[in-house]
Amino acid sequence: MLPWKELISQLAHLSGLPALIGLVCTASVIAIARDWRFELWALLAQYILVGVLHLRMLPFELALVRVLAGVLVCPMLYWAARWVESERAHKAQIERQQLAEQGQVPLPPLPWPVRPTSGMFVLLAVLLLGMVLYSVSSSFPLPFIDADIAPACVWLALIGLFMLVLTSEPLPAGMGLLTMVSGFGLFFDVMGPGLVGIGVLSALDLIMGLSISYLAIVRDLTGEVL
Amino acid sequence: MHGVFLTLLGPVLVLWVGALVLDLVDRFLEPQDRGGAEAFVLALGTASLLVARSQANVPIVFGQFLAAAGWTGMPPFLIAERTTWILALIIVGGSWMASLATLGQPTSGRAGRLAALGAALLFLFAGDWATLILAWALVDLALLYALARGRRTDGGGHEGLGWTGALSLGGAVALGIALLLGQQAEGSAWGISSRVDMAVSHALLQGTVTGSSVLVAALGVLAVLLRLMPFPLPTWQTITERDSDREDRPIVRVMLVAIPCLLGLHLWARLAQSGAIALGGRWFVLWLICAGMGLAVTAIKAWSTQDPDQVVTCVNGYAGAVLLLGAGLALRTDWMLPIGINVVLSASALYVSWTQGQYLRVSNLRSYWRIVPSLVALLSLAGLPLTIGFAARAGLYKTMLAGGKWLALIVLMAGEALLMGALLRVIFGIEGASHEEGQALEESEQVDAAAVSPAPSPAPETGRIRWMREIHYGAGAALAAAIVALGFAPGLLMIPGFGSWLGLLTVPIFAALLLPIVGAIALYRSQTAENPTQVFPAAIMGWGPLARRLLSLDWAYKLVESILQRVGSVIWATTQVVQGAGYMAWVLLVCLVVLLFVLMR
Amino acid sequence: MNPLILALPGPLFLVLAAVIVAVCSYVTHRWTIASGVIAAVGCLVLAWTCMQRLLGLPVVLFGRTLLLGNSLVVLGREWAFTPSGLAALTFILGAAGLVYLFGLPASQGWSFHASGVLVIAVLSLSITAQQYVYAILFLWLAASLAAFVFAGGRPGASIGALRFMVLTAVAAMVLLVMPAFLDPGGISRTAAAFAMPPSPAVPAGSAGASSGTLPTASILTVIGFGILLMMVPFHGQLVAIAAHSAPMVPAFTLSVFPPVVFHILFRLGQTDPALFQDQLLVDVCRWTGIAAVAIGGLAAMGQRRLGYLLGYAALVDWGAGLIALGQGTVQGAERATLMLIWRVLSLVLAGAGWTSIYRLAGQRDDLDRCRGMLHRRPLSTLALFLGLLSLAAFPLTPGAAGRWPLILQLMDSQPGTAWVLILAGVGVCVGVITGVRACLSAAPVESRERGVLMVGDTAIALLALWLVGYLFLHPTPWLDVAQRFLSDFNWLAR
Repeated sequence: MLPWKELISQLAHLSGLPALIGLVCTASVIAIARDWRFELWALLAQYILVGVLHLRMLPFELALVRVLAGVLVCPMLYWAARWVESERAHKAQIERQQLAEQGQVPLPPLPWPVRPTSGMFVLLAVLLLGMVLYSVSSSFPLPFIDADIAPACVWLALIGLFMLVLTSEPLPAGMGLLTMVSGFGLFFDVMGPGLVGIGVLSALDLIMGLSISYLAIVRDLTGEVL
Repeated sequence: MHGVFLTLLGPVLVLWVGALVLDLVDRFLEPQDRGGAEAFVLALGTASLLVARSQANVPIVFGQFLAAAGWTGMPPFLIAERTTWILALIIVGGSWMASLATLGQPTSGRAGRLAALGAALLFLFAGDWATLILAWALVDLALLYALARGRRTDGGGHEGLGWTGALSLGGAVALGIALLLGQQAEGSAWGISSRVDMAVSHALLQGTVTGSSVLVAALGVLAVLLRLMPFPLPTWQTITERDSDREDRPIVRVMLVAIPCLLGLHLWARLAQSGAIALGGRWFVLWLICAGMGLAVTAIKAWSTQDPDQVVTCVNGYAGAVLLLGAGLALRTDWMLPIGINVVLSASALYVSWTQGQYLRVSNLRSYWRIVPSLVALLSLAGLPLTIGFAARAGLYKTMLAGGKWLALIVLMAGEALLMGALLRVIFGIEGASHEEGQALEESEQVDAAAVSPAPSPAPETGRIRWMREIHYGAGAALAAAIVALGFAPGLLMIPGFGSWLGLLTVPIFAALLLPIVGAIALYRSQTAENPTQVFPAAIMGWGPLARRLLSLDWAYKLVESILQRVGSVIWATTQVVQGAGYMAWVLLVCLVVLLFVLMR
Repeated sequence: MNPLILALPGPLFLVLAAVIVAVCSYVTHRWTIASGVIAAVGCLVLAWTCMQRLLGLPVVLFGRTLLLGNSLVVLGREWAFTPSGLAALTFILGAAGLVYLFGLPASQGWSFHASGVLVIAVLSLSITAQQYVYAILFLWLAASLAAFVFAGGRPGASIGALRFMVLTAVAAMVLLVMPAFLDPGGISRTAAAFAMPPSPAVPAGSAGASSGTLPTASILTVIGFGILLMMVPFHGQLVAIAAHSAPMVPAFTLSVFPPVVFHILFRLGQTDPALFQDQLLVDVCRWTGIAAVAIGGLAAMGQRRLGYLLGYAALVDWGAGLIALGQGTVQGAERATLMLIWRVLSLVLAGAGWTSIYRLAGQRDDLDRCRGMLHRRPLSTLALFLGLLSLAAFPLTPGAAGRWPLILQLMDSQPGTAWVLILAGVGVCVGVITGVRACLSAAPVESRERGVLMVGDTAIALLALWLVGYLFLHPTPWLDVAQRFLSDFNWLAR
């Protein structure tokens, strides 16, 4: 076995707890952070951590395919988010100038991005979800999967669902969807999907990433100012 | 292909093709024919209808391909008995006459009118209920289109259009539901009975009375009401009575009285023959109440205005009220038919020829012929013998007196007296008002005749106006002639002959016939005497415009519409909230509630 | 080898052909009409091919006889043509071809044609998959790709696409997990055309899963198919697609995805009838169908946008289909399948009319923007409202052909349900009347428009009215397709 492959395989022997802690952190950042850059970095880290967990249940090559698919999704989202941000800033600038011209006043400050919920609310909600995770994991453990990986699946699914409920904006909701699908992917490994199944799942990840990026761009074609 | 034009489909197709062609032409070109094209198409339609007479009682099946669609029973077909054919002839022929009276006026909305007439024929000839309902919807849609295209001004006055169309189409829906419920017993999904009686009686109900059958009858009663659309419902006429958008073209007015009345009569006859509304007897009083209100309101409206045009349009309300009265009394079909034909022909003759009074000159006896059509119409409305109105009135009064419906009788007689008095005021009042205009016209004609200037004179202009005037008069005269012809020979309508109606005449009926006429003449004389006696005191007459406004019930419709709009806003807002950004939260909430429910169990 | 004969595995040919059509359509996407014509012709040709194959007739294209093999095996996984699958594909491709044809008057989105055909290609893989897992996976893949179809027709309209993608993903995840709980005793691994993966719940060689896992599998099935079948409360995706997409998108969505879902559901029932023995899915279908009908009928009355009106009208019809399915009988399944067909015709008609109006209204669907449309585009307006009335099951419309037999049947056994269906139809009619009033209102000052656009809109509307009327009055081919679709599933009669 190649040295780097051996090194990576050894990661699989890590207990699920460090990975779970890492996933708790990354998913929480995705949910709580208001800047898409933090969210994307957290998503990237999340995919890598999920890949490490995949190593426990899949052959190395298949796990690598899953990680690569996830990692490739992040640049797609990045470019989409960059374009959206620049467009929004451009439109905000135009509107500020129009307001200033109408009122003959100095340029007003740029408005803060408005989100339906504040960071504190999301933080508290995430904490609540953590408690839900604890109680669900102890009372209704996920069957067919190792006990130390199951909480990771549940956590990712909960956070993903929470983000989908929280917002209908394509980018954050899309990241929530990808988070949920990551958690599902872990559980699906027990079904023995094989090469074709893993290939299709990875293609799904890529297509979903592409679709989410597209929707994020389309969403911003209204001309509305953030 | 040409054979289809010899059948009952022929007039329908002629009118629809004419509508399509004129609509396309109107979109690209400015009409130059001054209404001649519409009159021509209607003439073709009338001719085609006359040719189709030979196809009476022959079913024309046009829905054979529906069998492939899995329809059970007999496929849709057309059929026309003698009476149905006559109704169709009155509608199309009357509209043709009215179109002649509309020559020289704007042609907007003509495609819709022709399409509505074609659909009305389809309604009359429908041999099955599915076709009838479809035709109903087409009639309403075409009328709405015609009235919308015919509006002169943009904006305003749409509420009546919406209510009338919505309620009328709702009638079609109600009838459809009633028939589908009624057909359930026969196992046919489309209400197409497999037992088709050539006399067009389709039995809708089988077996014992059930809740469903009572509901069917109620829906049938409602459907007739909505087809007739009388007061207090927003009538078709009210759409055209907006001050900013007054519709005074004869053809529109004739269609708006002929189509609702005759189609409503036909529907009532079909339902009555099939026994569908027999169980709805308890709701016939609704018809009587509407009829009484309509008669009273018509009378008040006729006397609350000085505008002769508005007085004449009151005939429309009277027509619907009388028909409803007959339906509410459960008259025999052969007694209802002359009522409907009478009101339609009389109203049509009035609409077409009441303006001829402006050419009446007191000094010229020959000019008195100008008002003969209007007088004949008035006499027919009054029910004098030798007009079709006599058969209409005789049957109606006979039933009322036999049934002891004294209140209805008094309301009818009072309403007739007031309306006819007002109409007399209009018809003969124009003579006085136009006396100076008539003199001016004489003088202008004398000047033209004595003109020595070789320059091109306005003679062609005057000649065209004269021709139009004569054509308008001829149209009214033809309608008046039809009234008299049917009065002489009511047997043409497949109803009892003149002698039979005369046989119904008793002293009370004779008195009931004469009293409204006497009352009308007395009212007219009181108005035109040197010291005229006001029918209503001046204090009340001053409230005339307000009374008219209140009685038009616009305020009621607006109130209902306002309430419905608020309800609609609440529904809209609720759907926006649920379907908005928080949709997934709602989904999660519902799922959690369901989970809770399942766990509790 | 005879150069005039081309032999290919059928599923592979279908996918390749669809991809080629998609590529050609994408290349010409700057010219909407060219792209649309390519997509329409391509889909109709492929539909004809599937129909020929279904009837056992030779397929001759451009002078070459195509020998389409029945199956394709890739890495041990099989994709094959079955009668039900071919019937579904025929319908999907034919309906999509009509949608593309009648969507020509206005742009439905830069990627509507190309992505749509690509979605159909992926769905064909789902239909022909002989393994349950891949059927679900490719359905999920198609739903994700469908975002390119739904969004892009309107600036800023991403809600419908996102909602559909999310809900389909959730449903797919649930359904992919379900086999883990299934009793392996019910699986026939050797002969079944819809093989399940081995259940980790049961060690190899054991008798079967515990009875406690079958109810779980049943519940997961209900949840998964409940979402895919857009049952309440997951009906929002249907309304959102109609309200936030281009006019032809609802017709496209409801013509390509539901047949696939029905196909997977019926195949699952055929191979694993134990899942449906407790009648839970049937009961849920019926009750959520009633809820959908009630919600749709009530909401349709107060709508101020054509998209929402169309969405709620479609929801009423969809709910009626669920009620039919919820009868749990062969007749009910037939009715639900037929309603699919009539619904697509209604939506195609409505979409054909709405497309022209949508363009004239500046790509907005507010009723205020539709003022005077009846005068500017009478035939398009007629097509739109006739389609809506068809969704309301107005008599003598295609929608009525599907719904009224159900209503009359329910009048005896469940009169309350029957009346809910009737009143919901009346509610949609009220919404239609509101729309008609708006279109009848006086138009604002008209800007000059090109005559060729008017002629084109009129021609498309006339063609749509004629074609839908013709198909409605000559339904034998469609009924035959529906019969063949159901021919593989005799479990319904048990």
